[in-house]
Amino acid sequence: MEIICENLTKIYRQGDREDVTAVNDCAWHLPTGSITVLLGVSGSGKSTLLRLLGLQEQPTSGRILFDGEDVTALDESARARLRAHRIGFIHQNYRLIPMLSVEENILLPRRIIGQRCDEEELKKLAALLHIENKLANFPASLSGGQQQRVAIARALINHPPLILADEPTGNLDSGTKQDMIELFSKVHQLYSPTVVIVTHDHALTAIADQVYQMENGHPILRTR
Amino acid sequence: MSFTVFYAIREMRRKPMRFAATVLMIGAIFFCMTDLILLLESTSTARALAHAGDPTYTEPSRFHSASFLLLLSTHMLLMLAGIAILTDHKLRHDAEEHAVLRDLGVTKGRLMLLHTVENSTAFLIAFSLSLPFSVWMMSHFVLSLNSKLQGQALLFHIPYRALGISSALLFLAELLGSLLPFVLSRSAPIVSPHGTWDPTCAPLRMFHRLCHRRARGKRVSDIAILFVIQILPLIFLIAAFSFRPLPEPPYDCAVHVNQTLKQPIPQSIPEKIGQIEGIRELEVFEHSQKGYYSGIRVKFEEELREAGIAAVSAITENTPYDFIDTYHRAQQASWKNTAHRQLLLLLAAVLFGAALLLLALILLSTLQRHGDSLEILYTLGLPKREIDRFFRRETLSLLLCSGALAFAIAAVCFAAMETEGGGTLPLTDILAAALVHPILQCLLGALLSHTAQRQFTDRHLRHNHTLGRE
Ligand SMILES: Nc1ncnc2c1ncn2[C@@H]1O[C@H](COP(=O)(O)OP(=O)(O)OP(=O)(O)O)[C@@H](O)[C@H]1O
Ligand SMILES: [Mg+2]
Repeated sequence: MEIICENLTKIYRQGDREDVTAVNDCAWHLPTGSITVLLGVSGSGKSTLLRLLGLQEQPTSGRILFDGEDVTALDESARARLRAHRIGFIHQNYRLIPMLSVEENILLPRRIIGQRCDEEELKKLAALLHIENKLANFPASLSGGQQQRVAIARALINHPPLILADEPTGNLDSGTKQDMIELFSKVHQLYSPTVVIVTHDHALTAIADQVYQMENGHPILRTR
Repeated sequence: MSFTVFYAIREMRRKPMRFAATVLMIGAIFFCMTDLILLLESTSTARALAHAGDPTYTEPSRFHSASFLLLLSTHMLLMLAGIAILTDHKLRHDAEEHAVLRDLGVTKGRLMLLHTVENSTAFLIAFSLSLPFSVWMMSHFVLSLNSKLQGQALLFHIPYRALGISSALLFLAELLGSLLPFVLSRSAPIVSPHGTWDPTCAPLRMFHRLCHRRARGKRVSDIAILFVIQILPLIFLIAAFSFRPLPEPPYDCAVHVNQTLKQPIPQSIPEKIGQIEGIRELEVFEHSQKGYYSGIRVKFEEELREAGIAAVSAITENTPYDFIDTYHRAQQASWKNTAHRQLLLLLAAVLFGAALLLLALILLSTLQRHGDSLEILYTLGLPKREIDRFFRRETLSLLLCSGALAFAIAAVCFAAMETEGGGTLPLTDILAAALVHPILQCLLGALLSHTAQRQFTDRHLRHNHTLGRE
């Protein structure tokens, strides 16, 4: 899926306090099947930009095009359908549902689009992420890194053509991190989704087709 | 299985206590309201029965109906407010999880549906629990109307119109109460992007803000719920204690002269009655306070009462004089009284149990919430001593709360004992009622906060231990 951002701006209005311009006049092009890594200092607006791409927030102005279609003009339910069918989102702080087991958490996107899941597929994905023996657990009993992997599995289960990951390796040791990097490239070989990874971790730039740096509210291409 | 059903079932299964608590609580609010009405109605029935055949007995006044309806509407408002607070509470709890669902692509329509299913189930259960009460009220209305139409003495002290209006109101309140969660979740955006529940419509927003205003570190809604929990069983207890056995009927049967005759009862009748065996007292009365009244009141020896009443009834048969038999009715009324009282006591006991359960739930979640922030403070260097002090303070505030409750219950019981016709309750009963619940509550609070404190210490000892090993 090809993503194009045009003059994208997001301003948080905070009543009597000063407004925050998190994303400022951003123009961005993500070719189909590319892996993009987005670096940047804390508070530079990376997560905000990712949430805009994930259709979780509406921009203050500007457009986002998915394969040429303006998705910012869509109504809320059409955007929800896009989120469910076409986007896999890995949140910075996992956001698992505490009352659902790991297995139910992973399969949640499947249920939302009303599809069954075959056991095999779940097992394979869980094995890839080394959480196959945690499927019956509840999120509270998992370590941070394990929760992160559950969140990754949840984002991948529907094979979405757009994967947005906010610091997916933030809580992982170097071994697991390497596995994760391999997983991303494996998934990529499998059906080549468009991937955006926000990270502070330079190791991830190894698999990137393009590396951007968030500065002054918009991404600037970095040459490696 | 559709996503909505799946999620709603999970929710009920994984949080059964919260679900049960909601049902219990709302059911209790419904019960409480209906029972107060029943209480009012049956005490006045008892009064009406005790006065049956008493010429000084007057028809229920407009004032009586007005105060009855006022009481009813106050309770209705209270109930609806209670349900609104509960719904608000629940919506806030759900908001974060629903924000995740929204981000995962659940459409707004489905989230609405989920809300409705999740929130309405508990309310519908409570509604069906309380429905028999409003049906019961309606049957009273029909009975009352019937006796009015047939020109009989009023069976209830509450006029049939007030009964009719109130049973309709009650039904309406129940319906509204069950629909309220639905309405509330409709009038709010399901979740704001950051997982909070923020109503769009202005009055709701004000209500929401009020619920979440913090008073001494606790949310107003928490305090409100705690208050309702404490007050509900108390109301039942008051209700139960305000039933006293009817006073001894002043006479066993009476003969009245029909008002239209306007002449004293002929001498022959008291003479005939006077010859009946087992007469203890016989009074011929005559007065003209409100119109002209005259008649005879008779009291029999205990063992000859039945036969005596039958004999009087035989004498007055085929005469223009009304025969009134208070004995049977009074007997029935006092039976109804005790049965009702036992029912109320039972309900009070159940509610006390439920109140303890709810209290435990709320305490647990408060301790949990505080525990999390305490843990952060602990890692930031807050001394253990301070943390212990915090737990002690929680226990102490609970203790004070229980003490106040005990005092309130005791006061109610003693008041019940002091008023007319009192003295029928043994002191031990009163003391037990006054002390058992608060003592249990104290114990529970102490136990929970002690456990929380121990768990906290354990976790940190273990934590430090593993740190030490590393
Ligand atoms: N909901 C919000 N309301 C107001 N301001 C916000 C909100 N969300 C983010 N911001 C502000 O927008 C700016 C960008 O935040 P963002 O979360 O996108 O940063 P980030 O680059 O992801 O940082 P990090 O690397 O620490 O995750 C920050 O100044 C933040 O305070
Ligand atoms: Mg971020």
